[in-house]
Amino acid sequence: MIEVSDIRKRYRRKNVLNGISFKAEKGRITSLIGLNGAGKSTILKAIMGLTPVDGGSIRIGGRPLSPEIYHTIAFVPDRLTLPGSMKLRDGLQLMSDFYPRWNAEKAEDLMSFFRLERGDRIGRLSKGTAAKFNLVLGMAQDVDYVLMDEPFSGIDLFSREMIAEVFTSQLVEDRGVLITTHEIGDIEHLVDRAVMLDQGHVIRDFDCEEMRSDHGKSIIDVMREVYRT
Amino acid sequence: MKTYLKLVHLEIYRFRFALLGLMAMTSAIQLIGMQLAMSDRLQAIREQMTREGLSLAQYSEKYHGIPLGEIWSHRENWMTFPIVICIGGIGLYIVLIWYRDWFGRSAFIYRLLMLPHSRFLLYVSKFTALMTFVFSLFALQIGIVAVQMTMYRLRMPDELRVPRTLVDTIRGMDLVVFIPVRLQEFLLVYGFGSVFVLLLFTTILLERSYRFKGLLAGLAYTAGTLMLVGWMWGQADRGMAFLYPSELLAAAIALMALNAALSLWLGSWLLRTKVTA
Repeated sequence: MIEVSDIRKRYRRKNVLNGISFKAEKGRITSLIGLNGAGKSTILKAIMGLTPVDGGSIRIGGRPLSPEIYHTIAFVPDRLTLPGSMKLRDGLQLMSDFYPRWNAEKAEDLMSFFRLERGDRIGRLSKGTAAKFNLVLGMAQDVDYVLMDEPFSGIDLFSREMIAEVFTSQLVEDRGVLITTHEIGDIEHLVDRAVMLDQGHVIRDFDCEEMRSDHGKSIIDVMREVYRT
Repeated sequence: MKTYLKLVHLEIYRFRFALLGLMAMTSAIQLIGMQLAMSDRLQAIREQMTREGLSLAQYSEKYHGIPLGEIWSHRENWMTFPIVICIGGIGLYIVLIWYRDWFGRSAFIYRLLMLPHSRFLLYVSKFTALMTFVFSLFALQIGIVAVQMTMYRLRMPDELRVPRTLVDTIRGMDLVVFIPVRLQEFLLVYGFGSVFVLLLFTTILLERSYRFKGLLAGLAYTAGTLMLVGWMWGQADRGMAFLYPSELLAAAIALMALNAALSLWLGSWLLRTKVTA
């Protein structure tokens, strides 16, 4: 389980995170939802140790952050994380070289599924193709948790459908997924837990199935209630 | 160890074209320069011999031989210009080796910081790669001087040739600053150069952690250290201190070693806890 407890961060004289706490369990898809500037991406970066926090704690599988943690968690950010001068095949080789839990077979399957060319240069990929390749880099690691930052942002309908398909595949089963997205409609039916944020605070944290069965509301219904009032 | 070597390989691989470019430029300019300097010098000798009606043997007896170092008298820029360009290129890359991972369309720093290995390996691998570039250029420079010695042997008439060893040739060409021929000089020049790289690394990581305030702190730290060592060195050089020059030099070396250790520790701590991708 990813446990985020009371994390706080100040950036440029503004409180970006004001005591954020939530849990993301293994085997479930948890979505961080919020308007621009709510702190979603900062939370993911903090979990990955890419930005320091001023207070609070983050534990993954009961352990605090350390280099060993990266054996159990992968991050799919909203931008490319390999040099643009590399070819896709070089990128895959780099992952294989440095990540002991890299699964080359899984990577091959995903490359075929997304119809990615190994000879293409990373710097010349379109936004949609780059998002697919980012997903390959994250999903082909045999890790317990995957964090995704806006995997559907700015990409065409068909690419979105392909990426959404990954969420229903075995690649996600048994893993804990923590995802931020503006395009909640694409995966609303797949999300198990929603954590709604506003100006660095958690304002709603609920089980989506319970919300549907007990209150007859979808995530989008709750979003309308929360963000329009 | 395996991860460290792979990271070093990655850093060298990313700079390979620039390094090969610097090597090709240095070789071309210095060897062409040698050819031109030899032609100039031989032409001048021939003209002087004609003017004074001397044979080669008489010229040699009157003016003595011409060692390789003296060939360069009017074209020494052909030798020093590529060296200055190489120093500038490597100096610039000390900064770029970090910043190129942060900026641009791709944020490679995300990937590097997320590697399931100690982040300190990133630090030492970048440092090792830079040192590898420096010593590659250093080795190339020695190789070029050896080739120039061969060119000198082939073109300079026997009567005017002054045979010298490689070390004496380097001394004669005023290259000892870049190619120290004594172990003590070598350790001093490249030891201080290495500490300078570590100071710059610390400044960059302070900037990446605390932005403008970090940059100011880093620059103050680097400038303070260099000024202090420079002052001690100057005192030792002029013999104007209470301590003997050798003692002052030892103190400067100790200060640099202390700063190297502090930079390594601080760099490691910043990468582990403070740096922002």
